Amino acid sequence: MVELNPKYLEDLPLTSYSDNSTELLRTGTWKYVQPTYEDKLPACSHLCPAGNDISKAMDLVARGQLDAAARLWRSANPLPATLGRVCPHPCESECNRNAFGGAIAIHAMERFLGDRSFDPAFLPERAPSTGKKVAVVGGGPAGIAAAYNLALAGHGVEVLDDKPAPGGYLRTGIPDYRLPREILDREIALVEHAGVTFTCGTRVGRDVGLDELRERFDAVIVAVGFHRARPLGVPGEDHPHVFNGVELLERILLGERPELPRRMAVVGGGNTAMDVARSLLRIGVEPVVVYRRSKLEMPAIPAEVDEAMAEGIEFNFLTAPSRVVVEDGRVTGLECVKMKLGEPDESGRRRPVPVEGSEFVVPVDGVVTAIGESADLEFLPEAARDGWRVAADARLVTPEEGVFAAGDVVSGAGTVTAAVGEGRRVAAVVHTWLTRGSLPDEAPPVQGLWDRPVNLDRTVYVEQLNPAYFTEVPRPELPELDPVERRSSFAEVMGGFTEAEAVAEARRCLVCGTCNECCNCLYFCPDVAIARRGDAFGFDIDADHCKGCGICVEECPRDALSLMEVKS
Amino acid sequence: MAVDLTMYDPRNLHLPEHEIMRSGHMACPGCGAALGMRLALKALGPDTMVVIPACCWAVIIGSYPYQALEVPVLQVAFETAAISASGVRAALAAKGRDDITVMAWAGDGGTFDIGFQSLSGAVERNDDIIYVCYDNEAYMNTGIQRSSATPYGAWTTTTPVETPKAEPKKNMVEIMVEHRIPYTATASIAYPEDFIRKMKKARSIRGATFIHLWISCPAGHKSEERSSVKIARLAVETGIFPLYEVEYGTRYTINHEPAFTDIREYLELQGRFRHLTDEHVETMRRNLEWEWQRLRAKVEMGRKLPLPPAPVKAPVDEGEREPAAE
Amino acid sequence: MRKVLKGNGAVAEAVRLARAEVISAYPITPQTSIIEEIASMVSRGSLEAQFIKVESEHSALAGCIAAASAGARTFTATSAQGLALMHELIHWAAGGRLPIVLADVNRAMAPGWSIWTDQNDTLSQRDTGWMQVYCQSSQEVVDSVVQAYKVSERVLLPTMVVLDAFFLSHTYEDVEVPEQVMVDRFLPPLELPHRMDMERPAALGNLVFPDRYMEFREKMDLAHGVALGVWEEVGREWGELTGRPYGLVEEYRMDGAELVLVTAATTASTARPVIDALREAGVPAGLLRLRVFRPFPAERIRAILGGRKKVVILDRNCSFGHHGIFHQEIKSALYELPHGEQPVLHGIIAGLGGRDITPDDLHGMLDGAWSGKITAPVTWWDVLPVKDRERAAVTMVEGG
Repeated sequence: MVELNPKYLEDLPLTSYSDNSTELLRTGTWKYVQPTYEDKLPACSHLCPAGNDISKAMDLVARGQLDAAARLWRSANPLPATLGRVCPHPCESECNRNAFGGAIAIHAMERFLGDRSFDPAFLPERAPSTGKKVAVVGGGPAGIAAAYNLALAGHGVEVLDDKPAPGGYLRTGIPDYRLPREILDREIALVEHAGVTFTCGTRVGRDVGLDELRERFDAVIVAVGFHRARPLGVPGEDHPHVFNGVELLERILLGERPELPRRMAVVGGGNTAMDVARSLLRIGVEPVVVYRRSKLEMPAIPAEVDEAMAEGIEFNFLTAPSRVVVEDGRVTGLECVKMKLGEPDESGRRRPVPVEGSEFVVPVDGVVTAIGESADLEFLPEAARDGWRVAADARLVTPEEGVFAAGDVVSGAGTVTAAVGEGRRVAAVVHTWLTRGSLPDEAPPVQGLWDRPVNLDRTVYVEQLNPAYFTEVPRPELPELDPVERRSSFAEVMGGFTEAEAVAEARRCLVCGTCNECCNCLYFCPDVAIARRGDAFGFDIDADHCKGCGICVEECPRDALSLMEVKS
Repeated sequence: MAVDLTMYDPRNLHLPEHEIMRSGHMACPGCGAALGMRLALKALGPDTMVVIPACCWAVIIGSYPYQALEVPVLQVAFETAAISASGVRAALAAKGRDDITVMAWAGDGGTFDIGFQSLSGAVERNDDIIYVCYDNEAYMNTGIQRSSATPYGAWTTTTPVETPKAEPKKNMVEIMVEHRIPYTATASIAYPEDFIRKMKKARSIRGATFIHLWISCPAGHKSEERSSVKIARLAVETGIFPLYEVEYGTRYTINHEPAFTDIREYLELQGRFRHLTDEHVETMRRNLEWEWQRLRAKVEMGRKLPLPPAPVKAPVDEGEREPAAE
Repeated sequence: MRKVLKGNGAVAEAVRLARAEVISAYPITPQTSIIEEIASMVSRGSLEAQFIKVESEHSALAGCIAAASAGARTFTATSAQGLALMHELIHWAAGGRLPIVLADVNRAMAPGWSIWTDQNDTLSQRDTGWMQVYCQSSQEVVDSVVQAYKVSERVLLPTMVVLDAFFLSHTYEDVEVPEQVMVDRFLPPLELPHRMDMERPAALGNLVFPDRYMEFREKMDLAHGVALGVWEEVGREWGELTGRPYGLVEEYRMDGAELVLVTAATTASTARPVIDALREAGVPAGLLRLRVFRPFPAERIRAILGGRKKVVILDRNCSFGHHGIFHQEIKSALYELPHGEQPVLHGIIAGLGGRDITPDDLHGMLDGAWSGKITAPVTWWDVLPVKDRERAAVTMVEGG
């Protein structure tokens, strides 16, 4: 090295001979913007009501770290194997891979990771006991998710459920061909392993009062769900061959095989209607679905509708029942009126309007109603109720101190997935309340509960990706039971991934908004200012030498870097 | 932490990890020439000597007493890149050192224009050097004057918007090909693996090799710094800068079939083309089509022809000489 | 070993003896036979070297600069237009402190084309930092080329060894060619301290800001000062080894000389019998031959010429508008003499473009100066008379 501060001519070389590294020069001072690694919300996770960290898990699977991925998925979601079967997976409809060969099979991946992690070794480590106790009223998905997360956080949690076994609608409302009982049982067993106590056959309001619960526990979470069917409100509804869909389904799913009419109208377009129709089919009844709007407006999971249609179930759209036709004491048909679609209502769906004089009779021997459910909230004080729902604010806090709520009773009939997400959120709120003694100003979105930082204000859609780095790779076909075979069986319809298939599918994942060490930033930096972090994940930017050109941001395939103003 | 990235999307990069170029150099933000050098030296490894004539890199490397490369570098007169590389090679040969790669690293002015004669001499002698022309299509170091590498229609300070460059870019690659050297190739900073493979191939050849590397220049192209790689990629994907290689003046291989993206996407990112009329663009399109017909015809011709008969003292291809530190 | 060699052959012999490792050269009359001979030596294997047969003189010197930077002993040869084409790199070689040896066969510059001798090509390179040695015989050419390597590699400056076109380059003489063993002892292998080196990955020639540029240039100037002593030391050492000592200048019959002819190269050989004749005729004449022109031995010249009556400086060159170049240099060197010791100087410009300088010419110059017939400070010798200077200078005539 030459003398940098020479005193004499002798200290200089003969000519311009340079052997000091330019690394000594802080060219990073030139910049006015600087790149920063900033993970953002992938479109899939943005739409995931359960708040699953999909991209990170996909990345782990792609690396072959299947157990780590399963552990991550189960770390806050106690029902991945269940959701991997019953979730309507809105994630896939928004998946950015749709532009490059078809959505990633996220739903199947969730099932794969759930099925992989039934061993208690997959549970996160439980935090040290806080000495606090929480009662969760209702053992459905929302209650389970809340209980699981609170137990892992170190609280003592007891779930009270009026049914003989926990699971709520998962047990009583979803047929085996969609969710085998064994899967649910194993997930609930894991929740118990995580420290949750289930007290079944106990109905709050009948066997124990709310006040008593508030006395015994530091917090109470109301998550009783919607399980009371709403009536049709048409003449003839009181006939014994007009069944309540929720109850009928529950009986069938619990193994009863009641004597039923040969051909039955199933009224409704939601998941219960689909589950009832498909279950009836499997026990030898011929179901006819009657729905007052068109297929497009059906609240049921589209795939369930398609599967039902594939199984040969008859559908009558734009048809509203007006009377149960009873002749000689027997149901002979369901009188209906044809509907047409008018202006959109507050739900955004077009409102059905009756067509004058279009009455006709659907010939059936019985009717099952499945037009919606409501909650039984009489155990709550008036102030904590708001019609069918619990009066809870956006933080899931009720006016009664120490009483919180989650699930359908807060947000109306939703999906199992939404219930899980709400359970996670209420757990976070209750945890804050129990550990800090105060309530949060606002409840974070469920994605805000991830243990890695993510800019929740920015969602990565296909426009934010750099298409130069993605090639079209088609979505794989998933195994599916033959429709003819499944007409007569409660065997599971959808097959799952093999390990190899899961890894191959995860490799298709664009890992939107999430650094996956693809190295583009590292390799395209003209200033050699980005370096691997040694053994840790990711990269560091050398602020002394980054000139802020932004090539790393532009060439990041997945928008996991952002340019920030340099603060002077 | 080496992660096997092959599991990701096939376009993920797999490049040698070692760095010969250092940070703290004097390149402008977003400089394609800096990125190009970094990639070139990743390919060549530490057993390399570099010759740099007057060009942006004469400044980028750092002023006395600093230097940005961890290999010996000789700065030489503008027009002498090729002969200087030959001189270094001759000295190494005289010392019995045959384990060192000598790379001349010159801009388009130093290659297409002022260094043309010396380059022609060196490749005609088939001196064992790798000559890389990093081409930003004008004299950028002196403040954006036209060179014979400036494309048709481009603005420079000596081809103002009233009279943008009227002549097409000189086809330097074809001129090198006609010297019948063992290896000539084009490359782009947006396709680092292709570039690195070509550099390694050049390194494996005993004889003269010429790599024409297209680089972006935010200052001279009037483009955004962050778009440097994107513009380089579009130069390839529009077909404007084909990625191909030629062995012994005969065997042509197109290395990347472009998407033939609309050239407007490329032009619109660069202020130097902002003044262009629809007629200009149409002329460019027609020219582009003609150039591709010509290139494809050469590929066809090369398929039909055998390689030229080897001279008595043929340059020896000794196979891959892997950088020791890789 | 004795050989009959022309000047160009003597250069080639010396390059072989010096074991130059890289030769980079381009043909030009009258230098060409130097590189032809070297090419033949390399082909036959009598000189183990890399010979880059470049496409121009510009590349010839660029090749040497690069090879020298990489640590090789290098050689090139050229003349006139070729040297002028090298000019940018002449600066580069010196600024890079590279011990390159270049043989220049003095040839007049075009236009009109001339292949014959004069010194304007090399003297135009006076201010580049190169050392220059002007030779008068093939023997001196052999000896000087070898010495040039030794001095250059000691002081890290390049050297031009200069020989007259045809009068020396193509004239055969009896030459004692030194033994290789002796030369190897005299001239150890080159170890350039700032060469390109894999162990020390430095950059040579990076941009230098005004805060350092001057220091590097001062070092070059200081090196020239050092080089004066080294030339003398090396010339003495050579004398001890071969019996042929060399100095910065050569004095002939300077004892008591009051009329001194100062010249360089082969003209000095022509001048010796003229001096002898003048002495016999009672004129106290002497001869001072300039050998090492850069570094310029000003002190030595001042010591020799101080107190002489008249000095005739013969320039085979001209710095147009201001004297012959040797004349300028000597005049400036003598300025420091006390007034009484200042000789009268007469500059003569003669022999440009290869015009012969005969003994009669020399006699005429010296006699003219001694007798007072020549009074002008600068005289163009043996040219057509002028009636009207201004008219002659700018008038175009056709078919003249």
